[in-house]
Amino acid sequence: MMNMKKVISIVAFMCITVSALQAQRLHNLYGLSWEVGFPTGDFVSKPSILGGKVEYRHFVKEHISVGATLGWNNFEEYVPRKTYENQDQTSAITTDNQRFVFSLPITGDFFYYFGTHGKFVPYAGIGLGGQYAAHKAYYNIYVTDDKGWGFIARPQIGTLVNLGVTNPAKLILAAGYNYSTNKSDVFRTENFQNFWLSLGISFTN
Amino acid sequence: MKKIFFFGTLVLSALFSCEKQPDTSRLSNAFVVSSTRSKDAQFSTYTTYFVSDTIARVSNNNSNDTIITGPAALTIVGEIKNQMNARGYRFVARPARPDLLMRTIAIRQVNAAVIYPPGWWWGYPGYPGFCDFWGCYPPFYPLPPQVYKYSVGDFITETFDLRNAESNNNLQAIWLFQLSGVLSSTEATNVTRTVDGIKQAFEQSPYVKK
Repeated sequence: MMNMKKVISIVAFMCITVSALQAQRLHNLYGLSWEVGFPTGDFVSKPSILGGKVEYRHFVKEHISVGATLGWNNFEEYVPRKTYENQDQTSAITTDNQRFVFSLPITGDFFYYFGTHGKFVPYAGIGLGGQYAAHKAYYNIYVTDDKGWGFIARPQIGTLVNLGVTNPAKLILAAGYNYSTNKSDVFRTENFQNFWLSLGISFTN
Repeated sequence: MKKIFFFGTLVLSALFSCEKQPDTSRLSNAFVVSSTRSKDAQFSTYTTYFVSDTIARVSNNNSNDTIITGPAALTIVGEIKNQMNARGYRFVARPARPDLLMRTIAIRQVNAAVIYPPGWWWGYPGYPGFCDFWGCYPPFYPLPPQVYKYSVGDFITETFDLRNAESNNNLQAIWLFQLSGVLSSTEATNVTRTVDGIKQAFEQSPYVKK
């Protein structure tokens, strides 16, 4: 009788464990993250904490997901009074200015996951798509702006942090680099680039 | 499909609204100083200049005044003379046929926030036309394409090549500078900002010298 109870306990434990492991097999992930950007260009160089992204991932295989991300960031920097000349040096303008870049990347994503179990599920991948960017310079009571779309590539690494075996919520920690072809003839910039770090929460099923 | 389209539009609208309003509190009230010159002008070939002690005035606030005179005008024009003299040019009276003719215009526009094409002020109602002592010439301005969002005040100084006007049948503006920005309610502050702006205009135009 005692042995029978032991067997039933073991079978029950195994069933629970297997179902828990099956629960870890992800199908979909919905995420919302806060993103900090570090621009590398000449137009703005000050880091921004005013960024974020929403994303969706669908796991086509245990280690592979495809999905989409919509992000945004606001870069801003004050530049003291200075003289700027045009290229043939026939015109000049002197002013201080508040520079501003609003970026809105929209990408299709591919991620590969190095493992599926455990507290941390590291991954690497890339997002490719388009980016809307608005470059603006405010001076005195005036504004000069230049807006447009460009191609963007977002290579990135990160990890999902499991908050419990059966908990559908997971943290997402990630770092990456944005390279976009958003150019501005007005401000003489050829592209827009920035590194970024992000921290987010996701829900999976 | 309709749901996806509706949801997508909603998300995109929400994201576009994530654009922050910029913090402009640090911006200075000093005038924005812009200048432009003719690529072909040889500034060292001119010797004399004339600038009137009165400043043409253009405004949309129903004032009948078309010129500015008195201490404010004398201070502003005096600074232009100081700078021109320091660059090696000599002031002469207008009948003495100066090589360069400088014209000053102050524009005050209230409640305007319109993007104007380059040189918009030439077509502005009340902007002084140009017929000189020796006749009328079609003015030519060497401005590159630029866009200004105009709001409250501008001070413009145009410098014309008078020496070659008759032979070219063309009164060419070879240099102009423009001071732009929000105006103070205090005249003394506006005069000080204008004088500072004139100094900056000469500083950023080192080619203006005898």
